[in-house]
Amino acid sequence: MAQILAYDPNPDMHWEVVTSLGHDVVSFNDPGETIDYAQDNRVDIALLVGSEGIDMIKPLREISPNFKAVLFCDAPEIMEIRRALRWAPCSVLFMPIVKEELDACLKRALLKGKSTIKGRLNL
Amino acid sequence: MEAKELAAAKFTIQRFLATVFADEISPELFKAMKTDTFLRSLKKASETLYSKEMTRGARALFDYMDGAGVDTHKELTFEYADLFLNAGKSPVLPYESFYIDREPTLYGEPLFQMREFLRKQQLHKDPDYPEPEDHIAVEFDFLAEMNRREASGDLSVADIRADFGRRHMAWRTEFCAVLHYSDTSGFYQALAEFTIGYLFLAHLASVPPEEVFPSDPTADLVALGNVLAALPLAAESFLLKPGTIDPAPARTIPTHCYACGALCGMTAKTRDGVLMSTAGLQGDIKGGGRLCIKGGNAKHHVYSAYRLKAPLIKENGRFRKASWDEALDKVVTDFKAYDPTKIGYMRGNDFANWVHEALFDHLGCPKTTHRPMCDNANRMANEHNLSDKRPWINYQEADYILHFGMNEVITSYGQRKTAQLKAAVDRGAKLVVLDPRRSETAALATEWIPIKPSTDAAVALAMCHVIIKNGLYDKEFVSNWTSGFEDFKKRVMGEDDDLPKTPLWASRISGVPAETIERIALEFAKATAKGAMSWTGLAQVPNGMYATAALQALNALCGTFDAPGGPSLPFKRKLKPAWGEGQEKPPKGSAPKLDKLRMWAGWAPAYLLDDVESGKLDGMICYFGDPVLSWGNQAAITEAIEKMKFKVCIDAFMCDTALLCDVVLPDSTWLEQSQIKPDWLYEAQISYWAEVVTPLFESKPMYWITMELARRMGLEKHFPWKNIEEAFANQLRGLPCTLDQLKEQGYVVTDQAAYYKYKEWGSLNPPDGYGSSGNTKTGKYNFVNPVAQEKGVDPLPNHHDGPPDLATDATYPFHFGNFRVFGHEHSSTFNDYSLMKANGTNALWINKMDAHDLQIEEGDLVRLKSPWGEVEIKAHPTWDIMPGILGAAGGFGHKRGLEGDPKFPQFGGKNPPGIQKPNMTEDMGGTPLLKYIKTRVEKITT
Repeated sequence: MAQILAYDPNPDMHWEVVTSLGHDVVSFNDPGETIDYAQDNRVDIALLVGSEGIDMIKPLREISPNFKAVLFCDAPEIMEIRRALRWAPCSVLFMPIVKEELDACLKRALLKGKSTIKGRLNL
Repeated sequence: MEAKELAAAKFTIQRFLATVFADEISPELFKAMKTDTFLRSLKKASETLYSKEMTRGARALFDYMDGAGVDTHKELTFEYADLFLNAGKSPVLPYESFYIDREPTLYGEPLFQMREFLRKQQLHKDPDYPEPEDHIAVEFDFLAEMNRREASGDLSVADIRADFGRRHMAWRTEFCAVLHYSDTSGFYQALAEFTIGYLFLAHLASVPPEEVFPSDPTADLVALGNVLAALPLAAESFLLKPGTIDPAPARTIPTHCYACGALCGMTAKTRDGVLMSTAGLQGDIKGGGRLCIKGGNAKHHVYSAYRLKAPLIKENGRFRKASWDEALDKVVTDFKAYDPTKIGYMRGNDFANWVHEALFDHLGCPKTTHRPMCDNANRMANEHNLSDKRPWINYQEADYILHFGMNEVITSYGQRKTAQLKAAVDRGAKLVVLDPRRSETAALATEWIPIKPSTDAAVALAMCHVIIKNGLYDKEFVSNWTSGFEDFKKRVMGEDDDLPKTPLWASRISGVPAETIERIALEFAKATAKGAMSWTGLAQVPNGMYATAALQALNALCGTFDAPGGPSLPFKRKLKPAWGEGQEKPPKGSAPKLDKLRMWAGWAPAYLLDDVESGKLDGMICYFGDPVLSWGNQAAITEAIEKMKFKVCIDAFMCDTALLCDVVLPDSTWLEQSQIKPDWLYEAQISYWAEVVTPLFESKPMYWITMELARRMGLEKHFPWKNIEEAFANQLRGLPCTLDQLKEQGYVVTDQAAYYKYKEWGSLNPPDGYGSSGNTKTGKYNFVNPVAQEKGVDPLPNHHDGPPDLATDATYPFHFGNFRVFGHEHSSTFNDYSLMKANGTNALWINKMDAHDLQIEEGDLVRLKSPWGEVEIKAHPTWDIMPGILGAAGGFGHKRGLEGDPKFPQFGGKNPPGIQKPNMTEDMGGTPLLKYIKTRVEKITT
């Protein structure tokens, strides 16, 4: 079971899919609160939605250089995905979340240990 | 919407994507995409699709195709080569194995998962398709096949297809981003938009409709499928075949490493025909069961994502894919248009050299090898004064070891020997290293003695002076096993030139204190088990031959050859010719001598620009070497190659030289081709290199390439073997081992180590049937170089200042020298991701005092300038290099591959030796002066 931090600017977003996979999830709609929480608590991986989610990786990596993050996009734009890959996310997934896909993604990301993140691509 | 209708639409879309990513876009498909009918329907779809992402993709594709002109298709073949065949700066690496960790090593876990997935569906990848199973085209083709089956009524595959699509979605999304970033044509950017639009659409279609309401992704998919159905796409799977192929059994294969010249024994483990890991080979005389970081990471070399995949032909300054037939025919046709004696043949690596050298020697091509770029100055001494270029010191027995200009711990040449050196120091043997830089070996040493470049001869002669003056030399050995001692003594004592080679004299030249010289001379002479050795630190400077002779004279004076702890005389077996009974080796042609060096009669490639401009060379075939990064002044070598009319490169990677060539042929790596080779350290053995894995992509072993060139030239009768093993069998005739033994063990030890072998031989030369790289005409150690005598060159060692224009001065007060790092071999290992993670760039070493004076700090960007060029590089102030000396690791600076790929900006170094004086070498062996470049350094302020 992992400690998961979730951020989505959409207040209607729910993260039951994460808890259904057996993980603990704490979710926020405000970037500042998300970062504050990450600063003070153990987080194994962050799930971040949208363009603001990409922006949040930098402060999270300032907390820990190997902070793991999965990015989600609900209207994928290729330039945004290019920008996301500069921040070495575990993965870039589409919304709505597909449980099996997220499960596989989390397992792989967490299997590789705390200090290992995937490579970044300067796109 | 019926499931079958949706499946049919998705089949069409996926088949289209498989087709456009599998290979160059065909003229037929391109033409069909340019028809008014197709463009109209694509435009209409782009205006009516619900999904804005798919609309964007369809519109991008329409805009590109609508604007495409008559030359567009040709341009796309160039772009395909750049993006998919690694000809370009930013290849797209279309493999799931890359994206799983975003590390550019292929054949990872996704490949095995894909194979298993295919097996479960009674499918396998078409063996004729040269890409691995986790290529994006194969995955799209698999999905297309599943949709085809579903559309045909087999609804059982729906779950399989959906599960596969989900599991393999994320990496394809990232691939689109990379494709969009890397493309320069616009076409693949449009395809990236189109593909990502489709992936998102397919994703939406895979979730319950209520989750995506009010959109209707299935309607968009059907509309898009209808548009693409007008294109000439294969009705059946074109990358997959029916039937399963069982996994190949796991194997552990004894072989040898060829990452560097050490040639350590290696075991390679394979799984389903894929190299998984490499380790040392127990009992092998070179590695002794050990492998270094390079050999241990060989998997990342073989499976580097930057491998050349197919033959390439340059047109209009860009590469396009060619078939082997087309490329080889062009090489032969073009070759025949020129005088073969003006086509240079360069082989940087001697893998299977018995076959390719035979061809080019026969054709009369001037030939050069690695030797005149490496240590030919050393060899001009040792190969004539002694019997080998480099007799290895028996560290296991030594109690006093003297190294001049040699970083043994890093350069290694056999991990067993390196381990023995470390063990010797641990047990109290004294290791003294003379080097301008505190190298890894100097750091290990009991004593590091900084010395100015190209002054080693002075120090070694002064040591000889001390030994002779004190009567400490081995009179029995000198009397019985050396020649020319009296002349040498006169030189050392100054009787022939009124200049006694005293420690004080040497001190003024070298900067080494006279007391130190005297002390180490006495220590060396009085030690019981000892050896002195040098390497490229003495070769890549102006006075290399004489410095080597002076250094080796210490061994001769002390009778250390073949003594416990001394340099072990080589006695490796000679292979028999590969041409057996009734087979005719091609006679040698008459290749002209290109350069006029004082000792070396061969081609010294640092003079390439001179040779081209003077009309001696019109072209070049270059195999497994990178002249641009290693032959001398980079700008001059580049200009020379550009001026050539015929230029071909055979390499596993797009090296800087290949970039300048008209035809590039993809070589297999050394783990994909086989050879046998005699070798030695203290014992002698015959070593075997196995074809551990089948050559990747469309690469071919050099043996095959040579045979095909010979056949096209009508020379097949001289290259008569049914297969390479027939040639091996010929080479092993009369030798104490068989090919089967070699395959089983990886090596066969033919001769055990022995002390004082020369006493049994009656000569320092090994007996018939044994080989080494040199020959002493007297059978003794020659203080007086007999070949130098014949050529009218001073045959006795001495110190000589370098050419005046290479000396440091007020404007250029530093001497720069390159050095080696353990994690790389010359310029050949820079696409191995694991090695690059450890050593991904180089910095300029500068003494901290010098850096302080120039206000340079760690990491500052500086400009290193010589009178002949400049390079920008980051500075590394350190106490580990002498004041007045600069250094940097060599081999960096590739324009392509991992160093050149802008997606990985953390990798990439510079090539400072490329600013040396053009058309310049030491004057005996033609070795470039990589360690004697006068420079100045300026901090770059922004």
